[in-house]
Amino acid sequence: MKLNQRYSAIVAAFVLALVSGQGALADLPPEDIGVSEVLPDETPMHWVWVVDAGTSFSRALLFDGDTGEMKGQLDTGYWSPGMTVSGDRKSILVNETYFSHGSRGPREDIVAVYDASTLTPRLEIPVPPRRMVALTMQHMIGTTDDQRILGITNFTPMRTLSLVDLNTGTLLSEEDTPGCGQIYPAGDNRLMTLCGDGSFLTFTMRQEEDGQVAIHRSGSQAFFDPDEDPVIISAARRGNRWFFASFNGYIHEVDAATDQPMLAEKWSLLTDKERRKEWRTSGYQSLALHEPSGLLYALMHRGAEETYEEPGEEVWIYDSETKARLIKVELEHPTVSIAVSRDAEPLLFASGFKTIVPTWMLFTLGITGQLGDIFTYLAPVVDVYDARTGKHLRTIEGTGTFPIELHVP
Amino acid sequence: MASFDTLLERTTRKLARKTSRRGFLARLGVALTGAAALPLLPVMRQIALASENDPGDPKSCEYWRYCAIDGFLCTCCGGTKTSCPPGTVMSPITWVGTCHNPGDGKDYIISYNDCCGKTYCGRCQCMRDEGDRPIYDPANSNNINWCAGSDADIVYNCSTAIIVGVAD
Repeated sequence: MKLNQRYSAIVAAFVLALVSGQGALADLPPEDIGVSEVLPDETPMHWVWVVDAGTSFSRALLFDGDTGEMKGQLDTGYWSPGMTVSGDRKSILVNETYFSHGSRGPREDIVAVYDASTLTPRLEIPVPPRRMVALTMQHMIGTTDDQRILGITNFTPMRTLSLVDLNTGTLLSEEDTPGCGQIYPAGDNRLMTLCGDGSFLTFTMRQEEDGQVAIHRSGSQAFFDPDEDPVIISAARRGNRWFFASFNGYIHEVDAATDQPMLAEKWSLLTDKERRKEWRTSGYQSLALHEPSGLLYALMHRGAEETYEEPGEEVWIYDSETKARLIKVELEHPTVSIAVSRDAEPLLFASGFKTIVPTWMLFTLGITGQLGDIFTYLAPVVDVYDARTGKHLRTIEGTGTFPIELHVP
Repeated sequence: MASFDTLLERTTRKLARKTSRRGFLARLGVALTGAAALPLLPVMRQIALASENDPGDPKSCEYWRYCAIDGFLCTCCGGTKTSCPPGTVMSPITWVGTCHNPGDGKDYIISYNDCCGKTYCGRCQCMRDEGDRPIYDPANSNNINWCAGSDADIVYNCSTAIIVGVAD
């Protein structure tokens, strides 16, 4: 009994010390209710927009590549939209579609101009409800370098191009573009559209003395053979050069300095041996270019011609001036899209999938024929690498349901 | 939360291209595990409703008509291989594939008309994409949402596989 009493006394003294110690701490102050975060006026260059096409009413999620933290979200309407970040990094432009009763009822299409700091629309411009809707929405919209004119690819299936004046917030024109669609900006006042015959149809906008904008259209020679070796629509830009990769691994470098864009150079991403082994570009966003250094990034895998959109396993980095391959980066996860930040210490973003079950479980399910849909076992991620060395820095998880596109500010 | 009952289904089929789904699974398995190709075995399928000259299960992605399809099979969504589920309408214009019928040894032109007006069915995803081309070649690209040409506008539900004729 005496022993128990002694222990009880010790415990009581300890508890008292704890309680009295806690009592010495100051109370937490009352906190404000109703606060929302505000982001920088200009989106930092190490942040990345991830378009989540995995839901009917799609979203774009903003992540900080340095920390992996999510910074905000845009709701972008029915079926993953065309989006682009303005050149001054202060706005995000999104072509959105809404039906009054969810998936039915009157349709309304807009260009929403979001403020980069509040992620709320600064302006909503009505546009013709005819935008092209496809698996990937890259190059569905594009702005002239002076940020004045926005082009939208339309497909009903008749093909047209909406030209929107962002200064006045009005539709400037809807132009017929038979056989042509995806948009590639070139110069202050030019937008090129890629045509099925391997050429470009280019629109040049000039401001007249009366303030009106005149639209000049011009065709070009074919720069690739769409039957023999088609190019992939995912292309990368450096100044007035556009880089297109073809099915067979050739870069078609287009000089877009005039309204008559032309093939400037054609060079190979592959050695003959690699071509025989069927290495080719991969995924939906298969090329990226770091403009200050001229480094070109190609997402690569091995497979037959028609596998050109399958996930990539490696990123091969080239000097776009010397055409030399510098580094091969083995990716952490199967990857469908890549992007590179525009700053002097660039990050390489890679959107892909990781498994959420142990390998042995996949193996067991596989050999017993019970694997079913592989995507049941996958979770979307965005991997972040040092774009100069290829070193893996971090993996961002919870990047939506299907992060199909990446946009860097 | 729509999750997989969404465009994800349609999109992931694109990932599963190659010559067959199993081919893709094996390759993805390699990418994920670093191991040699997993010995994935085919799932046994009941061959139902097959006829001698139109063999195979239209609810299976490996049915011969689906050689260039990219979408949810309408056969699993309340429709058939040639008709749309109730309350949806068929897109009049779409992409085509040329598929070999093992039943009679002939090649057929197959039209993959989309059914439109309700959101993603999400069942029997199938993506084979033989001969798929970039979207500047619309008639041979299955990346495009062909509901754009339908009375129900761009809301995609599932895809059919209709014989147009024998390929020359």
